Amino acid sequence: MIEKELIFTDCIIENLKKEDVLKFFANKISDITKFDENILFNSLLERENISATSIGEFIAIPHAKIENLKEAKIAIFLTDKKILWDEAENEKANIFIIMLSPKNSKNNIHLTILSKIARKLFDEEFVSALKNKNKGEIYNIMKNIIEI
Amino acid sequence: MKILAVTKCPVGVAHTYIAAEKIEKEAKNMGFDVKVETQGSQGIENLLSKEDIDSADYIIIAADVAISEKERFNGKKIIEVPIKTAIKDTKNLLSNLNEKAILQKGEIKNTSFNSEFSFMKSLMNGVSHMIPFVVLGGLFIALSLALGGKAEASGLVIDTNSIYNKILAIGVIGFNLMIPVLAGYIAFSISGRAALAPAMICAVVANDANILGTKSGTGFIGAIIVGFLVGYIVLQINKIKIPKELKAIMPLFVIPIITVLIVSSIFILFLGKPISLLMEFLENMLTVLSKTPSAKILLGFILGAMIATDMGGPINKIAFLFGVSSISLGNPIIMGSVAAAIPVPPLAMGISTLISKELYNEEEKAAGIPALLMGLIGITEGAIPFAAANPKAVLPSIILGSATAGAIAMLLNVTNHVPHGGPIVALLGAITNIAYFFIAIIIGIIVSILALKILKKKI
Repeated sequence: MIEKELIFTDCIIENLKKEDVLKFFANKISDITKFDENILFNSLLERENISATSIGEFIAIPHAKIENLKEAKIAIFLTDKKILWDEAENEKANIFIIMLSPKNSKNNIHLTILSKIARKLFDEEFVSALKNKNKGEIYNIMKNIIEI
Repeated sequence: MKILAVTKCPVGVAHTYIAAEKIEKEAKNMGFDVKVETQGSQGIENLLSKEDIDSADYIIIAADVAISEKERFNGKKIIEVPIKTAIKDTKNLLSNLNEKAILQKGEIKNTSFNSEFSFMKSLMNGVSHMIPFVVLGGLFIALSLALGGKAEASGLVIDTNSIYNKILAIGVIGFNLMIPVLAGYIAFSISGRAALAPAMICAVVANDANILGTKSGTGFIGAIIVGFLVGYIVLQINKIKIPKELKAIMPLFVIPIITVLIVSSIFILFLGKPISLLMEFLENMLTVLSKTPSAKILLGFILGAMIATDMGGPINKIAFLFGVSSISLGNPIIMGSVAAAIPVPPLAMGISTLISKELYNEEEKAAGIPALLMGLIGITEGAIPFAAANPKAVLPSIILGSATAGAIAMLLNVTNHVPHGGPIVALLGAITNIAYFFIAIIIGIIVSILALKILKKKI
């Protein structure tokens, strides 16, 4: 569920509009996974419209349950500029941890894993790996969380 | 200081757990005792117990949507915040509990964890899972008997080669499954998946006359007892501390085996004999009464009451078999009384869901029409979902109604030559004094419905 190819440590963002950034993420994920870009984008946007997923410390966790997705996927984007993610609270983010989980899945393991990751987001080790844009370390920490 | 929290977010995969983690960490840093319940897409984890809530100073509800069972916190100081506040402003939130928390008003349920509240909830869980089985089983049985049944000396008989015989067989399977499903899902709601298999197996054991060594299984009342027994035994086993290596095999091997052995033994060794004795006693009582002409009405009243008491259990069975044997003994008036009592519980429940709508929830209303049809065909079991969900109000009401019908039919000399009950036997020509037969049934129904109106609390 975590692949090195889905960790993007140097995203150069031209257009700072939130929707465009989401579209950019969906496009990148779609390139690697071959999953329909529009479905990804719309599902993530729908969740953002309920309430923005920024959680402080410049981290945001866009996530969605997606129909017909085979297995849970995690993608990480580190952007060069800070993006206004929650207009209401004037909150910006440049670390994006995207979690996609299959809808209607009978197997709940992916949910357990996602909840584990959610709990680790504020771990110092993890946050510092993210801040240092260290792809290998980010991958290893993620893998550790998932396998425990 | 002890702090509790409940976290819940719209999707339930991320914020719920981030908030839980943040609150736990920060509260520990500040030296508080803390426990956080997460209501996420994996269900409720780390459930706050009655003891937790009683001993808590403050309760934080961090949620963007309504949380489950907020009434638990009545009488406690609570603070409600958006889930984001709990994630981003954790320290602030925890430092200002004193000023921000407000008392949640409402009736405090002063009951322990094994309270009537959770008792009813477990019971309802079993009943709501059982209803589709009763409905399908009952309708198939009713349909096949109505369309393909012939009244013979051995009861309503269906031609072995006819399609109705297959429909009957399918219906009987549905009916038989009702017992394990009722017990299984009562136990499931008390202690989870590990309790499901043992409860279902033990319920079938408890309903098997051969294994118990009695003339009858214990019916739906036995199933309810099995459900709670298994549920609480598994709950206790789960409290025993065991090494991690063994944990994985506990729900698969250890818990089911131990629980099945304990509960089956209780039924076979300790309940089989008393049930046999009870049945013997009831049979003797009926025999004595039937030989006393002056006690005729009393006999009808008691037979009717027995029919409605456990609907397919041992008490019902004795009354029914007593009626059946009376046919060959040349006293079909006893079977007439039984036949009038049989349809009263399901008919009364069905009609009551139609005219006293305020007394029933949606699920019960859905079971109302099938109950009516089952009543017409003489399947008393159609009333089981109602009786199981609310025994205190429903059982007395239907017992009184059935008893009334039994007594009136006896008084008016209704006879029945076929070992079956309900309006269908009249249609098939097995009843004499048909008008009186229906008068008995209708008065029985009216009595039940009135009793339900008085006894059953409005929902």
